[in-house]
Amino acid sequence: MNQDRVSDEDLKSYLLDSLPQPARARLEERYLSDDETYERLLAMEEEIMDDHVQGLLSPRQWEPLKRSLLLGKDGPERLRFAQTLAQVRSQTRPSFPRRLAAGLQLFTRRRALIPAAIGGIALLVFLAVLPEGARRQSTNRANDGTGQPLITGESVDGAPAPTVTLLLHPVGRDSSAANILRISRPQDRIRLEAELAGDERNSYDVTVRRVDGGQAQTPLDIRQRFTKSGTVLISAGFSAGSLRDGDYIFTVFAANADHPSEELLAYTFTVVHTPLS
Amino acid sequence: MTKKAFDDFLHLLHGDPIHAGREYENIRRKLTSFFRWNRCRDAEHLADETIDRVIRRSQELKVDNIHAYINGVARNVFLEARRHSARFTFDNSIDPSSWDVSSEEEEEYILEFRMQCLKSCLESLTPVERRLLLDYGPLHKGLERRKELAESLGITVENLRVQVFRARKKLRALVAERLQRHGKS
Repeated sequence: MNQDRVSDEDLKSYLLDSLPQPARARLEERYLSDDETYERLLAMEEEIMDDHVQGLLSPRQWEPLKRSLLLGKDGPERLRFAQTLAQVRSQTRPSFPRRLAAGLQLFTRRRALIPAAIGGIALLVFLAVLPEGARRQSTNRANDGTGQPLITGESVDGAPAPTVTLLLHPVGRDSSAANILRISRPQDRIRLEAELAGDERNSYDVTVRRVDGGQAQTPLDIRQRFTKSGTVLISAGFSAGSLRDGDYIFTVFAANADHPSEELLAYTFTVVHTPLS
Repeated sequence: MTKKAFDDFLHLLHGDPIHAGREYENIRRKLTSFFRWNRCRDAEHLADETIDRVIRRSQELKVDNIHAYINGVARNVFLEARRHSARFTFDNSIDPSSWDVSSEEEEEYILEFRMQCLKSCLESLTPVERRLLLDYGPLHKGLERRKELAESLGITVENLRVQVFRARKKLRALVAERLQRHGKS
C-alpha cells in the first residue's frame, strides 16, 4: 500500500462524497489501518462544519456531510458546538500584543514586499487627493506588481473596455480592509490578482465562487508572473457581467499533472456595481 | 461468540491486553465512521457486525494482516447492507432538512448559556490550545495566516489542523460535561 501522505483535497472530497472510486476505496483501506489518516479525516470533518456554519459551503456541497453527521449519534451536538465556537471566535479579537507580534513577524518576513507597500500607500494618497469624478473608475486598488496603479484601456466610446484590476489580500477579522471590487460598466474587463509565496510550480488554476453557493466560475484567462521580490502574481480575467453583487471566494489551486490539485489560498471579495451616472 | 474467540482476537490486535483493548475500541470507532461516511443508517450496529464476523472467521483461518482483513469484511458488510436492506442505508425516510442548526428553535437563553459555557471552558485550556481554537480561521482568510500561526507555535501547517482538532475535542468534552451538569445538553 502506498504510504504517501493523503492530500487534504482527497480527504475533503471523500467527506463531501466527491472522491471517485477507486481512490475512495484506497482511502478507506488506509484510514482503517492508519490512525493518523483517520484523525486527519476527523479534523477535516470539523473544518468543513466550521465552513458550513460560516456560510462558506453551498447547500449541495454540504448535503453529503450533513447526512453522515445526521447518522452519528453525536452529530447534532458537534454541529451545535461548531456554531457556538464560530460565534465565540467572531466575538474574540486577537489581543493587542499578539496582533503586534503577528504584524512584526509579517513585516520581517515580507521586507521584500516593501516596494509594493509603498505603492499601496501612494495609491491611498492618490485616492484621497483626487476628486471623486477623476477616480471613479479607479476605486479598485490596482497593482501591476510594481506597486503602481493600473487602469488599462480608456473609457472612450468605441475603444476597448477598460480593465479593472483588484489585488486581493487576506481579510482580517475586523474586515476593515475588505476586498471590494467596484464595477461601473458591464462591458468592463476584470482582473483579480493574488500574490503567492515563490514556488517552482509552473501552473495554477483559479476558481471564483459565490459565498452563498452556486457554480464555480472559471476565468477567461490566467496569467502568472514572478515578481522581483520572488513571489508569484496570479492574475485571472473575468467579464464584469459574470459577477453580480455579492460576496465571492477567489481560490488558487496548484495544477500539477503528477499530483491532485492542491488549494493554495482562498480570499474573499465583495462585488459592488456602481453604475456611472 | 465464545470468550476464547474474543480473547484470541484481542491477542491478534496486540500482545498486551490493555493495548489490545484500546485498539479494539479504536477499530470500532473507525468502522462506525466508515459506515457513517458511507451513509449507512445503523453505523454502530454494522461496525459490531463487522467485528463479530472477523472474530468468527479468524477462528477458522489464519489472518496475517488483521487491518486489511477488517477492511475487506467491512466492505462486504456494507455491500450486503446496501443490497439486501434499504433500511440500513440512507433512504431519505429521514428528512435531513428537518434537522439543521441554523433553523433550530432553541431558546435564546440556552444559546447564550452555551456561549458563556464555552467561553468559560476555554479558560481551562492551555494558552496554546486557546490560541489554536480562536486563531485558526477558514482557508479563505488566507493560507499565510495559517502558516504564521503554525510557525509561531512551532508546528507544521500540515499538523495544524490536527492540533486544532485535538484542542477542540478537549473543549467539547469540557463543554458537554458542564452542560450535562446544568441539564442543558
